[in-house]
Amino acid sequence: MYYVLSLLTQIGIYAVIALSFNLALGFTGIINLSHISFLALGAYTTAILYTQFGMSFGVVMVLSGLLSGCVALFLIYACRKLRGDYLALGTLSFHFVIYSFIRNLETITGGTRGLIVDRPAFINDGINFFIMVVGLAVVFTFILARIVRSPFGTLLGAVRDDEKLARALGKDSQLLKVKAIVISAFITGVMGGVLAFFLRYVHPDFFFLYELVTILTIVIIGGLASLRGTLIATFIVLLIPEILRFVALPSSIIGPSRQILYSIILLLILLIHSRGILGKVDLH
Amino acid sequence: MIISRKIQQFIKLRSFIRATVIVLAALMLLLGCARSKMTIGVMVPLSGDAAAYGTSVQKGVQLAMETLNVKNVEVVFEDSVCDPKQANNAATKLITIDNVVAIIGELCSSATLAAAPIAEANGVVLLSPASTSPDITDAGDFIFRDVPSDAKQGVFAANLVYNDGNTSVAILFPNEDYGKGFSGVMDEAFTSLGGTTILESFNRGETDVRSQLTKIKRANPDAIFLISNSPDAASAAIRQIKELALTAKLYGSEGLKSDAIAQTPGAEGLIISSVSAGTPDFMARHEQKFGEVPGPFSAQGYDAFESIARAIEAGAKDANGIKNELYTLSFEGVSGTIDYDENGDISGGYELFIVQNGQFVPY
Repeated sequence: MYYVLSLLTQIGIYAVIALSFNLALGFTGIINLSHISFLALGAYTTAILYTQFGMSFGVVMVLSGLLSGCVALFLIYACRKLRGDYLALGTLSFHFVIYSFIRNLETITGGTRGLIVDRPAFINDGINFFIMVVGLAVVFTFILARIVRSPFGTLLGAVRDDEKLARALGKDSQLLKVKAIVISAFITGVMGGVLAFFLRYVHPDFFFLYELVTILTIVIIGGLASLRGTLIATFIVLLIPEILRFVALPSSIIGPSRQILYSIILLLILLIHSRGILGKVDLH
Repeated sequence: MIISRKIQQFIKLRSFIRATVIVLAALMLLLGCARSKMTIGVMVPLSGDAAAYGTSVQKGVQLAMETLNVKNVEVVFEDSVCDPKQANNAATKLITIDNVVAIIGELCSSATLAAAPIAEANGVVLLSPASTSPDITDAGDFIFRDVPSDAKQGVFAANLVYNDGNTSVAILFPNEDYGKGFSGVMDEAFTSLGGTTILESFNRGETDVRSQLTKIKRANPDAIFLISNSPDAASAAIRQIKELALTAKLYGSEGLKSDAIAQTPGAEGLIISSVSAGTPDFMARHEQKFGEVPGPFSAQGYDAFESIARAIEAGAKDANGIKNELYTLSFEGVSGTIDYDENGDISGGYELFIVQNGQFVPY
């Protein structure tokens, strides 16, 4: 059942991406709409370093994460004076900048032709790849769960709920935000590398608004500041469109009706649970 | 009381298990029956911004199924949204759940390239009726297409413009895979013929190209070749060419072939090269069945199905057999001669159209 295995692998990858997004968005309150650009940076770093420079798998993964982390550091520094909607706009435009770079830096990224990615032999098999993704997902979920339950995680919540109060109590809110977003970007960068190996091909259009909407949907449906909710939502958001492939729809309306059913299900979830499945907080 | 409730629960559980077993057995029976038939997957964008192309190919395939009436062949349609990840899922589902021997699709080059490694790894034929990226040529042994590569259209366009008596041409192209590939080849071919070229690009979806046109006007070329696969951008460009009073002769790529463009002020005399829209007989049958003229790539969709159907009728029993038959296949399809070369490409022909009185007529 390679189809099921391939879906589960995808769910594993997206779960980690969404969990790390939730660390910045839900737990710290940074409306970071350039999360997908970290994913893109990781994927392209992997594609270029592994396939073209032949660097080893482990080194490539770490470098993918580090590059995304460094770029996140720059982003949060550049946006240090922005709050709320303005931060959202600032990070979104940063996403467009990265996207345009990837799209137009043809000599390095292949531009709109994309890049073919070779898989390392030991994960060429679907089952081995799945095991690797599960391993990574467990490790990262464990790390994230430890972070949000630690005193550091509580401080992140304080920054989200009342930044002025946190600062009045002598907490360096800026530093806390930097730490949160760099961790989030590092993990996403690594998963970008995994995604590149999974798809065996990277193209700038993988990393445009559509992906951002998917990740945002997962986090919102699951609920802000809830790791368990995000995990459940990843299954819902990624599996429903696939399950709908098996609903016997007349071939003339397959496309639109799948989309309509999918949106209705997501809307119903949000109508019943307005904070998402296990959401605890609202952003203001 | 308690005991009887437990018994009731047990009975419920038993009937539940029995029902499950029956359903599973029925499913297996169904799957077993399905095996005796060969299944072909059709994976095209049926939603999203490329859905119009997807439904047009779908109609071509449906018409082919009805006309050829091949026995023991079943078709499953999947929506892959012109998106690489969706194409990945759709291809995996078709191959591992529906056990297809061949897939017709995708249309968008990036989605086809994303599905190609899966088809190649599982040994299933992937035949695209619309992806024109030159990269698909080397995508694999099982990867075919019945539409010519951009590389060929670029050379054709260069010859067309040069043989019309133009020694300099400005090429205006969208800054994406299709536009870059096309303009690069055309630039090279036109220069080697002895002409000079000016290249100007615009971003996909952009509808203001005045600054590019002003530069072109200053260079004063004999002809302008407009590459576009977005009707909105193309008709805006044509209007602006008229506004800026450029006198160069106007040519365009196949993406311009729509009524909206023919009716744009300033489009009169525009000459375009286009992949075949189908033989008159095909057009008549299409119009009779669906009440409309065939859309883009409908004829290619028809020929894709016919290619696979012919391979099966020639005795191919599985995907590998179909692949081998396809390489030896040669027939007159509704979109032209179908004869796959060693890369799974066809040489294909182009047709010329000119705008006269707000309509495209053969040139």
